[in-house]
Amino acid sequence: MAWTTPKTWTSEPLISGDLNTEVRDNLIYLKEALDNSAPAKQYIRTSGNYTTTSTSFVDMDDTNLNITLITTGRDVRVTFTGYGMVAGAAGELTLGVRVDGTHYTILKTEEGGSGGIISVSFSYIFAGLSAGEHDFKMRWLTSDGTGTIYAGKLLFDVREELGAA
Amino acid sequence: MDISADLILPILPLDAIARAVLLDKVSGVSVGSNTRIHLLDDSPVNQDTANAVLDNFGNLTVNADKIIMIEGDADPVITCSDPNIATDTNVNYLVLLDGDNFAEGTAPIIVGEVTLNLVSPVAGVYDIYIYRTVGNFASGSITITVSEV
Repeated sequence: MAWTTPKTWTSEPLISGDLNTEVRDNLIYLKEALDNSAPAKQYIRTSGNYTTTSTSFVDMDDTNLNITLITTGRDVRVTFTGYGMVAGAAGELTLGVRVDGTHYTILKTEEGGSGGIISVSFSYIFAGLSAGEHDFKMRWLTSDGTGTIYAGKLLFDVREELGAA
Repeated sequence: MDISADLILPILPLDAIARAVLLDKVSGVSVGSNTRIHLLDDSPVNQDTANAVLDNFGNLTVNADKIIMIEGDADPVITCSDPNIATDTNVNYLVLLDGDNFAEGTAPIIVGEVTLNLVSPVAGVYDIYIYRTVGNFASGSITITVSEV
């Protein structure tokens, strides 16, 4: 159901078509927006580490770290918090987010130092997204050796920013 | 393209197998909520190969003359005479020590059997993987635990 900018009524006959379009359809649109959009969704992973050896960007978890949000056109903040490691001595983890099929590289860690624990947390605002449905997917790669991001404290949160036009 | 299986497999041996049989057609593997092989070239033959690697992971029977030992005991001997490798000329192997890559290589198959010797193992857990690089790309493993004297 699409949103129709309400017309400005003048002195004219009130017809059922107008009522359906201007009142009924827009009420349905607003109800759907309320039902589906609470403008935040998140995933917390409590068990099951993520590992990869991929040297090109791949989805971290196509099922769980893949959030669809219906927005009203405001900025959207994507937050990812966690910690990880890279097995390779010169290994680095690079994290990104794919928004509606477009990839954005967000974070690149320091070298892991063969198993040193590193933070992989970030908070990033995507501006300029139109109102409607948007998909947010976590992606990553490792430059050398197996990369790991630990479950337990892992959070992926996507929320529309209130007040940010 | 990702080729996935709804099970959790060990990443290091799976990565070794995928890279050995798919070469530069694969960017790596991932394990999390499932197990995925990431194809850079998703031709039908590469998809079939990746599926076979996943489908036949763990399907080779690998034996050892001992799986628990103490440092200084006679070296353990690992063998595989699985019918899958009967007509192969060699197989690849990967040895992990406490989860890290310890050794890897290729071993010949003689009269349908491959034999590996784990020389002077130190205390730790050795996971020995053997895998085919032809046919159905089947793999198998055995674990040998070595305790301190």
